[in-house]
Amino acid sequence: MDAGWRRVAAWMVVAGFLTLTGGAGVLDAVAPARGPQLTSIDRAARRVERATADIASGARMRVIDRDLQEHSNVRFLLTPWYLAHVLLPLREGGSGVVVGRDGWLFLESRITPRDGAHHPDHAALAANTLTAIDRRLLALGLDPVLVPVPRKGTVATRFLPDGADLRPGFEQALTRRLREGGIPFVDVAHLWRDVDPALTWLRHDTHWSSYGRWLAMEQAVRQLGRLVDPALRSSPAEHDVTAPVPRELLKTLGIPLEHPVFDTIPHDSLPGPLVTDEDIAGLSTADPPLVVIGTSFTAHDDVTREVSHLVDGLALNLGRQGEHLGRTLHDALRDGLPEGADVIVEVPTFQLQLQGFRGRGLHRHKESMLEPLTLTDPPAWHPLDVELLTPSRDVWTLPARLLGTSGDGVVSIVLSGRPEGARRLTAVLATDGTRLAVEWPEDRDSVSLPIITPSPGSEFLRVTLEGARPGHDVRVRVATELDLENATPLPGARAVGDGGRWHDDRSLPPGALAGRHVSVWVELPERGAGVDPRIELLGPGGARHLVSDVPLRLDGTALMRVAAPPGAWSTLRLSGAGPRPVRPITVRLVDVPAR
Amino acid sequence: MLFASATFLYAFLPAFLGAYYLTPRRFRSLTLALGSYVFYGWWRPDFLLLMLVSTVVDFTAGSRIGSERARGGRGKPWLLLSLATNLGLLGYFKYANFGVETLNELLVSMDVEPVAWTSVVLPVGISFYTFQTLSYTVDVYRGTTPPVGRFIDFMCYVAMFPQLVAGPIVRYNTVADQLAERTHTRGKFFQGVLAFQAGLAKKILIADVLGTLADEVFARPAVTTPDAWLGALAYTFQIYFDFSGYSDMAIGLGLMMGFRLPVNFDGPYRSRSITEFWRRWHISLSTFLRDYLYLPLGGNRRGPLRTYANLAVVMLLGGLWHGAAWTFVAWGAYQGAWLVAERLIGKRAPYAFLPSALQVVLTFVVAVAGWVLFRAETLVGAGNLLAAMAGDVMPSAAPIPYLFRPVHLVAFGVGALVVWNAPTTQRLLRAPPLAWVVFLQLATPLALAHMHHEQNVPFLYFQF
Repeated sequence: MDAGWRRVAAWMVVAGFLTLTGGAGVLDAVAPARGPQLTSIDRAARRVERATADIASGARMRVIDRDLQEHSNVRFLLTPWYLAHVLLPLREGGSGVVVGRDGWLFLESRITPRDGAHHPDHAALAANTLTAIDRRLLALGLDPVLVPVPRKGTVATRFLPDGADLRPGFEQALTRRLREGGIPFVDVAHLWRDVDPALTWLRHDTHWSSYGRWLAMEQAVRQLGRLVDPALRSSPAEHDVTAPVPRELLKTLGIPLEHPVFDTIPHDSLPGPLVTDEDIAGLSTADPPLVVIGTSFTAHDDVTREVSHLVDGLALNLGRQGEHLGRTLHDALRDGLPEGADVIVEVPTFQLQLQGFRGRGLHRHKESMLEPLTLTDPPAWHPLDVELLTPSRDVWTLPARLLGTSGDGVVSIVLSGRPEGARRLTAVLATDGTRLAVEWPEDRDSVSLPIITPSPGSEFLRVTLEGARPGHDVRVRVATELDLENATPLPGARAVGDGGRWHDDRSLPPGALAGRHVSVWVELPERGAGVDPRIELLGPGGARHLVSDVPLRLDGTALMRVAAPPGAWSTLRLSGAGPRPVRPITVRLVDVPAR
Repeated sequence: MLFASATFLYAFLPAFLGAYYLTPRRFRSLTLALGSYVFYGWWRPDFLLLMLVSTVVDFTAGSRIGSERARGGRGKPWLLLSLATNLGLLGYFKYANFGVETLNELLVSMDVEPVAWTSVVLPVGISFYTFQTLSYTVDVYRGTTPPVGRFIDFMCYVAMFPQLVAGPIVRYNTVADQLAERTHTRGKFFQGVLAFQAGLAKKILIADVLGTLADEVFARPAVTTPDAWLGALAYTFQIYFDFSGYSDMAIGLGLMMGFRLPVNFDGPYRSRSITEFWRRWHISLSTFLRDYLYLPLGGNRRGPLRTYANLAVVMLLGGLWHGAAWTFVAWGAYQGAWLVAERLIGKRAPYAFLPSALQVVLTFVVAVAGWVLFRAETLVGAGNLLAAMAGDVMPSAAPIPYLFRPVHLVAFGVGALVVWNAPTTQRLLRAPPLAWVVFLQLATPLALAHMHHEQNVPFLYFQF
C-alpha cells in the first residue's frame, strides 16, 4: 500500500471508529432505541430501583450501564442481524435456547435436566403428584382427566441437537405409573405417535401447534365421555397452511418481532387455526360444565374460548404478559369451580421433572381470599412480620429473602392494612420466575398473594403496590418464614467423601418422625457442595428411603418435608456429589403441627 | 467500567477523547487523571480512596527518597513506608480471605470452632497499581529513576485508565518522559484504533465464545476425555485472547492519547520451551518479577542451587500474585518446576532434540496442562480434569450435551490462525497490511453485536 492510500485508509479507519462510537453515543442520547418490553411490575420496580440506587456502592452506575445497554441503537440494529446469521449456519443459540437439526429450537433446560432429575424415584413422585391432583379434584366433586404434556424433545426427536440428554424414560415411567394407578389421562405421545412432529409442535416455539392441541383436546373430551362430532375430526391438509405461527423462541434468543431480520428466518408452514367457534359449541353443549386447567390450552383462544372455566395455575412460570395468574386463576376461581364439572388438567412434564414440582398450584376462594388447595399436607407456615413499609408512597419494592421455600410449598405474601383513599389499588408480587397481581378492594383488611415457590436460587421478591392515589398504610408479612427457633438441631459428624459423593449422617431422636409433621431445614456452608444433594432416611437392616433430591437455593439452604413411611428410621443422611463441604452442615428438624 | 461495554464505547471513550483533545497540551495529564478516576470510580467510587492513598504515599515517599539521596542519604524509612503501604493493601484486600479460610479449614480439621469472618471485596486492579507504585519507589531508591516532579503526572501514571485494571504493568521509567511530553499524531491514533479493534475482536469474538465452552467443562466434577481436552484447550485460548486482547486495547487507547505502552505478549504459544514462553507471556509481569524479586534474591549469581531456588520462589509468588488460592500456588510451582528443569539441562526444553514444530506443540501441551491448574476451582478438580485428559475418567462422567458447536470450531480456527500464523499485534501496527485493516473493520461491528448479545463478560485479569 503506498503512502497516499495508507493515509486515506488511516483517515477512514479513524473516522469510522469515532463515528461508530461517538455517533452511537450521540444517537443513543438523542433517540434511544426501544428497550425490551417490560411488564408494569418491572417498570414499577425499575422506578424504585432508580430512586434508590446510590452512587457510593456503584448501584447508580450499574443502572446507567443497563439503560445504555438496553437502549443502544447498535444493539437494536446489529445484534438481531448478527444472531440471525449465526443461528442457522453455525447453529448457535444462546439465552438458554439450543438449535437442533433443521433449525428447530429447544429450550436448553427442557432437554438438559439438571443433576438429580433422573433419580429412579422421580417419576414416582411425579405420578404421586398427579394422583393427588386427581384425588383432590374428585373430592371437590369434579371429574378430571389429566394431560401430562411431554417435552418437545421427546416428540420431535428427529430434530434434536446432537448429544441431547432427554431420557424419555421419565415420561414413559410416569404414564406407566398413571395407568397402573387408574388415573384418567391423555397419553399425548402415544396419541401423536403416527403424526409427523413437524405438524404437532412448532419449530421456533415451545408450544404445540394448533393441530397438536386439537388432537389432545379431542382425546381428552372423548375420555370425559363427551360426544365429539365426527365432522370435527380434521386432518391438517384440509386447513389453511399459510397462517403465521408463533415463534417465541426467536424473541427469547434476542431477535425481536419488529426487527426486519425476523421475517427472513424461515419458519414452518403449519396448519393454522383448526377449531372454529362452532366446533367448540359442538363439543361442550348439553354436557356438564367443562373446566380446562393448563397453559398451552389457555394460551390459545381457539380451543378454550367457550369453556366455562379457565384455570392457569400449574405452570406459573409460563404465563404470558407476566401477570397471567392474577388474570386467570384469581378471576376464574372467584366464584368457585362448578359442581360436577368435567375438568381437563394440563400438566407440563418438564416442570414435574425439573423443578421438583409437587402440584400445589391449585387455589380456591375462601372468605374472599385465595387459598391453596392442599394436595398433600403442607407444613403450617409460621407467619413472621418482616418489615413495616413506608406508608406515604404509592409504589415501592420490598426486597426479601425467602426462607423456607420447600420446593413443593406455596409462598403466601400477606398484605394487611387499610388502603384508604387509594383507587384501583393493585398489589403485585414478582420473583425471578413468577408474577402475581391482585386487586385490593377498599373494604378488605388484607390481601394474600399466593405463588408457587420460586425456583431454587431465586433470592429476591418484590412486592409493589400500585394505586391511583397514595395514602394507604400497609403492613407486609411473608407467611413463609419458618419459626426455626423452635426447631430441633441435629448434631452430626462432618461430611465424609467416598469417591465422588460425600455424605453426612445425623442420628434421629427416637420417634422423631413417628406420626408427626416434620420438615428438615438444611444449610450447606458452601455453594460448591450443592451438586446433586439428597436426603435419605436410613433404618435397621440397610433400610433406605429417599426423602427427596434437595432443591437447593444458591445460598445453600433448603427445606424438605419428611414424608417418612412407617419404620424405625434412625439416621438422616444428607449426601451430594463433588467435593465435600469443609465446614459443618446445619440440619434442624422443624416440628410443624398439622392444620 | 469494562472496555467491552456500551458505557465505555459509546459514552465514556468519545466524551473522554473529546475532552482530552480540547484540553491544552500541558493539562492533558490532568484530564487523563480525572478521566481515569471517573473510569475507576464507575465500579466502586469508595475504592478510589485506596488508590489515592497509594498515590499520595508513594509520591511522598519518592520525593522524600529523592531529597534524602540529594543529601547523601538513602531514604530507607520512606521505602519501607511505601512497601508496607502497598503490600499491606495488597495483603489485606487480596489475601486476607484466603488466609482466614485456610486457617478455618485447619481449625475445623482439629474440631475447633472456625473464626468468624466477613469476606473482603477485592478492589479491581489493586494488584497492578500497587506493583506500579512499588516499582516507582524502588527505582527512585535505587537511583535508577529520578523522583517525579508534578503530583499530577504521578497521579496520571498510577491511574491511567487504559492499563489501570489489568495491565500491562507499566514501570514509571517507561513512561516518565511521555508523562511530561508526548506527541499526538494521526499515525499514532490510527495505530491506536487498530490495536483497540484487534483487542476488541480477540476478546469478544474468540475469548468470550470459547469461554462458554471452558466454563461448561470446568463446572463439572467429572468429564470425559474429549470434553476435558476441549475445555482445557478452550481455556488456553480464552486466557490468551482475553488477556492479550485487553493488552491490545490498553496499548491502543494509550496510542490514542500519545502514549506508547510496553508490549505484554509476543506470540507466547509459539515458544519452544517454557523458558521461552515466559519471555513471551505477560512480559510486563515477568520483567517485574525478574527485576524486583529474582535479581534481589541473587538471581543466578550465587550458584546453581540458589538459582533454582530463586526461580522456584519467584514462580510460586508469581502464581500467588494471580490469585489467593492453592490452585494458583500449584500453577506457580508447576511453572517453576519446568523452568528449573529446563535450566538444569541448559535453558532448553527436554524435547529440544525434536523438530522445531514438535517442540512448539509440546510446549503448548505443557502450557495447556498448566492452565488446567490455573482455571480449576480446587486442586481436586484440577487433578480430576488432568486425569480425564490422560484417559482416567471418573465413572460418573458423561459427555456434556451441545458442548462443541460449529461456532466454537470457527473460534478455534480463527484463534489458531492468529496464534500460530498471523503477525503479532505489535508487528501489525508497524506496517498494517491492508487485508488486516479491512478484516478489523469487518470484525468490529461483529464484535459489538456479539458484545450486546452476551451482555458484557468481564475480563479474566480483572480478578488478579
